[in-house]
Amino acid sequence: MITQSKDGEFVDPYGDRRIEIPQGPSYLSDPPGSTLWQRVKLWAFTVDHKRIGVMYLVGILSAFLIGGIMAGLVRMELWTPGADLLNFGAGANPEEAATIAKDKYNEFFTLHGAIMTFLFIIPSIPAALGNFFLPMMLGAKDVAFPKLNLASFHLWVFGALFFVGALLTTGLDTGWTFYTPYSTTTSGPVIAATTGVFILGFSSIFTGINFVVTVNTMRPKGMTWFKMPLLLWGLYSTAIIQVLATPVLAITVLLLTAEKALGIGIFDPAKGGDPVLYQHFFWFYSHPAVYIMILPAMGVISETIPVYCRKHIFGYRFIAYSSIAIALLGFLVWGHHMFTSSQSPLAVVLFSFLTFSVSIPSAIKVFNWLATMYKGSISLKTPMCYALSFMSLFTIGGLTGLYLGSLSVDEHLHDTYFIVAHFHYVMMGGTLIAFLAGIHHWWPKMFGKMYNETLARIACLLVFVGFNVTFFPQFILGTRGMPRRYASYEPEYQFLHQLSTCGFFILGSGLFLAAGVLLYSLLWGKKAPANPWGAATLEWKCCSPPTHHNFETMPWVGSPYVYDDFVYDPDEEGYFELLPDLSRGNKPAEETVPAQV
Amino acid sequence: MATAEAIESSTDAHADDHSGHGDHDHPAWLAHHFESPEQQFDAGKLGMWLFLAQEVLFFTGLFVAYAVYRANYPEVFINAHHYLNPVLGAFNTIVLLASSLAIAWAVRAAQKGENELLMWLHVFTLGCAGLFMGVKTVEYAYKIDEGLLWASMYNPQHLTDTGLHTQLGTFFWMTMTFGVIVGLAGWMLKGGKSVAWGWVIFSIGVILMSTAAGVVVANAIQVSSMEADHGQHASADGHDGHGAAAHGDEHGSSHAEEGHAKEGHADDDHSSDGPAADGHHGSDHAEEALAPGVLPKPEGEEQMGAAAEEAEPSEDTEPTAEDAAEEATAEEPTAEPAGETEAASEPAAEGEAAEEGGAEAAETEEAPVAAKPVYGANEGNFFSIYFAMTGVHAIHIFAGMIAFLWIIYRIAKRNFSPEFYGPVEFVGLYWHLVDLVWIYLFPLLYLIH
Repeated sequence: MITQSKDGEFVDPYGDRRIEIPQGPSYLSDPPGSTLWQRVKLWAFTVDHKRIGVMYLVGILSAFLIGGIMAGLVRMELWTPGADLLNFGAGANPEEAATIAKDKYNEFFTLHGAIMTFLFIIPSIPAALGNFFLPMMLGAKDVAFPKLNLASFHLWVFGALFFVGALLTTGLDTGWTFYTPYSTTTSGPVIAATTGVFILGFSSIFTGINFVVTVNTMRPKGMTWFKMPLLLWGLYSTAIIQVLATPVLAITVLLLTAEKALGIGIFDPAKGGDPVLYQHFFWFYSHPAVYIMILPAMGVISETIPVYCRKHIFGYRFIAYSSIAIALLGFLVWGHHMFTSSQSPLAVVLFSFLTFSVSIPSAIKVFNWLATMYKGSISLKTPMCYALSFMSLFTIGGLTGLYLGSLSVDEHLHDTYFIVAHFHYVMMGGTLIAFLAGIHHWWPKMFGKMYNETLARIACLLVFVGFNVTFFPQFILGTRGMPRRYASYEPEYQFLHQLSTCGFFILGSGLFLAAGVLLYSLLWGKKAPANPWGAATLEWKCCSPPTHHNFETMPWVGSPYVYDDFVYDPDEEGYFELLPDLSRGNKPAEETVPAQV
Repeated sequence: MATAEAIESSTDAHADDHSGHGDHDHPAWLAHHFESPEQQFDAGKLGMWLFLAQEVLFFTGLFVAYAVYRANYPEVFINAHHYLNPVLGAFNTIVLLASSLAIAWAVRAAQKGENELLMWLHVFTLGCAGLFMGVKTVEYAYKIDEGLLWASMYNPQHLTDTGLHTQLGTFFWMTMTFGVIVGLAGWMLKGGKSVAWGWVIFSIGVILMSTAAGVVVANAIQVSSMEADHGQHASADGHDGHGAAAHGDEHGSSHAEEGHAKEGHADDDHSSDGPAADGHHGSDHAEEALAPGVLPKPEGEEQMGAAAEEAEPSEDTEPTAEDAAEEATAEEPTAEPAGETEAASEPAAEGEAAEEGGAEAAETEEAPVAAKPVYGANEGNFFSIYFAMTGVHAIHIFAGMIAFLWIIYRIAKRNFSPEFYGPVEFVGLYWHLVDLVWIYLFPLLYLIH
């Protein structure tokens, strides 16, 4: 970078200290002259973690679209108090039509929940963004087991086909939890669905094993545990849960399948079984699964906030430890899903207490993010807008969780729309928003294109407003006694339901706008510089998009949150890194580096 | 690294990590994304340990289900286990322990570069796995034959001759013949065209032959147990009365103390007394819990039932007796295998086997076929859990066999050396875990008292 000094001379103030990032062929490019079939094979059987990450991204977004359409059908059914929309193929008989509509409603909310949980949220950040960026943040060429990584993706596809195929063709109405005894007596395709869940579970386990091993064994020299980017801490904690909790789900659905297919009676009271045991098994996985969903999201937020505040993350160690604390505490609180399922009073009190204890590490994170922003030079780029949305929505979701964790209140709010609103604030307001933040943050690196900042910010605003209009009324509905999972309701709830449905359309348009902006950039976007945001983590120290081996030269491993040595270059519209100035000694960076242009 | 070259080759042969890039300053077995062999080995080992942790959690679900149902219906479990033959369980335990020893030794052989030994140890391990599966086949066949299935299929029947032995015989001859053919084919192939595939096919032959051998051994044990039962019936009545009267303390103390030294006698004593004693416990809480003495038994006889019922009313049992008995039986797993598998491994020596195995199986004899659904809905629960646990375990054995065949292929390809033997060790670790699970399953299912 050449600048002009006061005297009018052209000087290069950084000289040799500027780190040049070598360019190379993109990982997205195939060898010239390969046929379509060869290209397909190069993608489908690749062991490149970046391509696998991109394939995961496409897969989970497709699942998200299907799940979103299901949500839309559910919301539209709730526009009027009667069950009158989803009465496909019903005759003139209104009672028959209502019955069909109610059955269809059950199927659609089951599909919505199951697809969103198993196919979208659980793999969203770890499998798509994590796969892409975990090795790059370590300066590694790939994850520890590339073939296992590919197997994990193939299992995901296989499981998803099983799942969606079975669900869409024949209809399943158990809810995503497959509670016994209904799931063992219904004629719906429970076996196909649980087989799908089983397969998806192993996909998740393989990803988890890969991540733990990669972080443990492949950190570069100089990157100690406490110099890792916080996303890696989040993914690491997530991976531990994936490895330790998912097998319990696997054996649970295996037993459920055996129950349904062979009648082994383990969950069937008629044969001496215990249906509550199923709930214990299920939530022993599915509560930690909530943290599988939210911990990587917190990691993404910990990555984005310091970059757009140009300030070192506040309380690094606390954020890192709190990830582990959440992961471990997450194993001890499953009983709070079962306060009304005849547990012993002592167990209920203990679970309630432990549930409250999870709020401590969660709050630590939120306060640390706030403290990071304090006196930072905040630039409201799109990822930062999403990060701010995340913080407010996650806080609402977390605080309403405390109401549900307290026993007497939960007795009233259990199975109402309050629950629905609560977990959507955490899952969607948390994980989905963080996923969007991450996508916008890393999009230039993944695909080498810049998107339209203004439109992306408008999309973010629409998502934020739409989300709140959709789900905030549901808190009120819940406190007023509207139970969940009903196709029809008392007319007094109609206004709030209609408000919620309106919000759905605002939210949906925001999401479509965001998708449109990103897809448009793929074709017509400006070429992205290597480091458009001035982030200090290693994945920004290679060209955009990266080459097959990620790094042509081993990057300089500095602190992931020190931005002093990143200088904006207006020619490239991006940042470049300076090697530490050895002559500067202990003096702060600002004194020796000339004022920026 | 020569970057341009690396990129170029990685684009055209990216799927092939081992050979596809221009940087040849490291051995072929070091994957391109690892920096050093140590890093690769550590990664593999940690990965396998995590996978094992995952497996443990997977089985934990079954163990929890077991614990819950045993706590809820202890009488069902105590009585239902009489249907299982501990000799067969002990035999399988020994077989798996031997295979684990072999595979641990194999890792050592790999470290020392002894390829021949490494190969034969793996073949031996596969033979043990085959034996295990053969024994399991016989056990399952008897369960199916007697209608001892999971809850919804639970339908115990008193059958004299269902042609089970003919079927098992046919199974044996077919498996054995097929195994010999496959084994010979593999042996010839490995001497000729393809060494690696030859070894794999030969090993499959070994699995089949040892499965057939396992069927014979297990069937001999099972049959001799049953014959011994019939032989014992004459004297069993007297025994029973005695057991019922004085069982409370005698069983607990004598069995616990005599333990190893008087093993044969202790077992005998215990097993003919056991059910009667159980009868006591049952009758103590007879109101809610249904006397176990009247549980339908596959080979039971009416007068025996009468004897057992007579024995029940005597009320000299104390809770301590039960505890003592349980403690005593807790020691059994260590005491039993030594003697029993000796007998088991030589099915020809019917005398011994008959006595011991018979003693065990006599337990299944005590009760009548008469009163059927005393346990109501819960009866089949034990077998639900039995089949779930042993079935899932057998699937893991099967997966282990496939992994070993892969290792054998790679040994024959001379892939391993003292510098690179990771896969041998990792598959070995997996096998130890599968073995370990069985070590827990055996006492939990076969040795309940």
